[in-house]
Amino acid sequence: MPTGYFSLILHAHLPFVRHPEYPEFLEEDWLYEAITEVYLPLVSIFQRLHDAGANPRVAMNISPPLCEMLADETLQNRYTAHAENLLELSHKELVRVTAEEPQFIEVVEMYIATLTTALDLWNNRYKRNLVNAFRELQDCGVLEIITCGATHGFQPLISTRESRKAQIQIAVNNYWKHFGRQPRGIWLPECAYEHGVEDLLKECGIEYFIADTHAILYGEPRPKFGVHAPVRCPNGTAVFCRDLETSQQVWSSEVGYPGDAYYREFYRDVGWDLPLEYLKPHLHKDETRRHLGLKYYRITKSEPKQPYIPAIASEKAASHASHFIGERIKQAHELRELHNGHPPLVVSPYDAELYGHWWFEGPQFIDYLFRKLHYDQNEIKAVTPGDYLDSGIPIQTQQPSASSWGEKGYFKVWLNEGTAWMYPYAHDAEKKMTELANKYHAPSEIERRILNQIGRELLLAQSSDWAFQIYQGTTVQYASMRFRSHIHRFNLLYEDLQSGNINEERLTEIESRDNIFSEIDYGIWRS
Amino acid sequence: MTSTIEAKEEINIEKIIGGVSSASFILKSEKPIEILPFPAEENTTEPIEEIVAEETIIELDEEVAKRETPLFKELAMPILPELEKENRLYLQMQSPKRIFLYWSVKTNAYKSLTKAFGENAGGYTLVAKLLNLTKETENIFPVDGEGSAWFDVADNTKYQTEIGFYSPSRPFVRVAFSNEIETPRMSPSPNQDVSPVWNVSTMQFAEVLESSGFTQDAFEIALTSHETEDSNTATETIYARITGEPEAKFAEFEMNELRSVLLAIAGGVPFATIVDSVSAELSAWLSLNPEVFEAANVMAILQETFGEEFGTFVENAETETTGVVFGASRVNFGNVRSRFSFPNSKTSSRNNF
Repeated sequence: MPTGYFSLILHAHLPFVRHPEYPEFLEEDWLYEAITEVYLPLVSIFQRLHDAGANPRVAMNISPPLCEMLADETLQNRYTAHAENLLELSHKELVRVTAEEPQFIEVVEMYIATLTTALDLWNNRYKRNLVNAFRELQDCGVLEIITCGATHGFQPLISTRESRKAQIQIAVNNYWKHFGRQPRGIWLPECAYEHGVEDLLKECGIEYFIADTHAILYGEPRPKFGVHAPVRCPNGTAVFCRDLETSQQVWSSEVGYPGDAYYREFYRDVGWDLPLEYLKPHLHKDETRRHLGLKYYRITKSEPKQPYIPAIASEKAASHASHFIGERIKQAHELRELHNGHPPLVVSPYDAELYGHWWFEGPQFIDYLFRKLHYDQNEIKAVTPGDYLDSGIPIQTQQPSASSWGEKGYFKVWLNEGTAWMYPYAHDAEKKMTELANKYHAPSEIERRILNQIGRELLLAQSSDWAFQIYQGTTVQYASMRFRSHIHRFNLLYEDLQSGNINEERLTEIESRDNIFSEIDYGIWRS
Repeated sequence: MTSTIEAKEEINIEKIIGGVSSASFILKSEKPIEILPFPAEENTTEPIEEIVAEETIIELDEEVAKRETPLFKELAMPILPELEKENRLYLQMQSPKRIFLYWSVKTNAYKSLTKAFGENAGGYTLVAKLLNLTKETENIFPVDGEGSAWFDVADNTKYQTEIGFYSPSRPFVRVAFSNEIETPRMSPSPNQDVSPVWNVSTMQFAEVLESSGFTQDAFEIALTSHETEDSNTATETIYARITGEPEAKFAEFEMNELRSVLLAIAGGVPFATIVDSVSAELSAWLSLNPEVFEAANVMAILQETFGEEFGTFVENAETETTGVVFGASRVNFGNVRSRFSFPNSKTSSRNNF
């Protein structure tokens, strides 16, 4: 038996952003950047670790909206064009920096190499569908893929039981579509939990969920092992909670690894640094500057910023991985002593997008981490929550406490003075959805289409991302527009259905835009 | 679980007038009811309005939109529907200390009231009741027919709200009631597992909390580990031993703040920093007798009272970090109770990442 267990959990999620009605759309870049910087590198690293026999074990949530976007042909084609454009700019940049700024040659060459590899993997190995890649990694034992809310709906702020359950059941159905099996675990959106959620999870066949630290520490009764062992709700659903020490080591901008002076600086991007005329062929048609993903500087401790040196950054990532493992071994010994020999479990959940997008060297860190865990020590064993449950280690029964992983630990990020206006509309739609599901038991084909689309609009309106972005103060206009659009479309379709005067052209247009969950069945909302 | 049931319509004035009133329709307060002004300045009875930032991230190209079909334009300019005027009352928990209510009342509720009471209806006022179901108390606030409000509340408590017509001398006429919510506790449970397999001593649980990063909770739990059952009494006892003053003397201060001071002193924070960080009243009192708050003395008394192991979770107390994280996340570190967080200080806060 190892001294302790370690469970890395990555939460990969982006809101469903797909605008076929426009030839280009700024917010679609979120997906494209994440594919280049996060998903492709992670897939590639996990595959290499597996091929090398390093036996990584990672739990990864790939949220239903992300699965749907990754599997969408329109977005796949647009990403291909995006990546090709970036590679073209990189080649152009190599010529320019060779003549004008030779200190950046090395970093530009790095971009050319990684983008070339990425495009090759994208087109040839994964056939432009990364869902297939993740599924292969699960099937070969590297990943334990868990699900999430259907559209990342914040469970405690949804008003009806039917709508709460629909978020989970539709996610499970979507998981079956993409991964061909039942998910064992779920990443509750924003780790938002309140008493009763576990009953819905159990009804949908979910064995465990991820919650924040105080869900267990403030639970009833006192947890014997604190946050370093899972608990089971009285209904048997297991709960794994976040270890703060590892969160801080990676996420803190003050003491976290990503703040190292040799790591890549996120905010200096050629999209803002180079002359507009030069960049124009690589911008959208509106010729507005934006992040393009080519960043040449390291964080540096003081101005001026120094050129990024990939080899040194890579060494740092290796060094940080070693340090991380050393700290885990130390932590495991201390906890094991405190717990009278009981092996501790350290659960470390992070946004997947931290690794590669915000922390460029993050995927390398993961690579080194699992290599060193495998080759350099035998005290810490990497497991998934499912592995832990299968181990047969006894688990205490406890009623967890309401909580989220958002700022201040509760629901303020999503329910506040700036977002409170959203909930009466969302709740009204939730009530109407169940009324419709109860009313229509044998709909005509057109009625079924409209009922399913009404369901999609409700789900998209419930996405916690909109309230988050409004609170965050970034992309406020877009987030607000998205929420309003889905409520608007819900009501247009609702009124059509109620009046019996269905505008099929409009229905078809809305279906073509908001095409998430082709498998949806509105009957899920029935009470 | 917080009820997720939509507000239920309860009014049936005809039944009340017909003498068929029942307790489920008419709630009488057992205590005299005082109509209060609306709580806290930030609370509002204004209809909920969208707050839109001035920035414009996407601008729908109007020229393009004009060239497109009416359908394109219709979908590009989303309009929020007017919500039906119905009896709607919904309560949501924002945090253990703050909850949110929105409501609307059917216009015919007023008509029914007038029809039922005739000229006497003038004595009635539309109010919202905030019911504390745990303590069985209630507060009443005059409201408009539609609006929203934030309430400062207690943690670990059940709440429900009602909208209805109130008259000082007549039965309350309930129009609708909301779902129930329960605010969570903001500290560890006082209860140990009844199973001996999972039972953990108080001091060991304090160490478990410490190992999980919840140092202040660990400290408070540790204070209850010996002789006394509650941390307030324990805090008073410790201060009495440190200062030689009677325990009753310390009741005038906030106990959380007193505990924070103990933890900070034991953790090696300079006394001058502590004095600058606490409330004016406590600062003045601490400054009267600084020598007794020397760290070694305080630690010795804590260990004398609670045992040698008490010191394990006040070691290495200097590290404290801010709440800034990499990326766009708003991930919480707020429940990492900082060793040196002072409840009344403007500058201090929990260790919020």
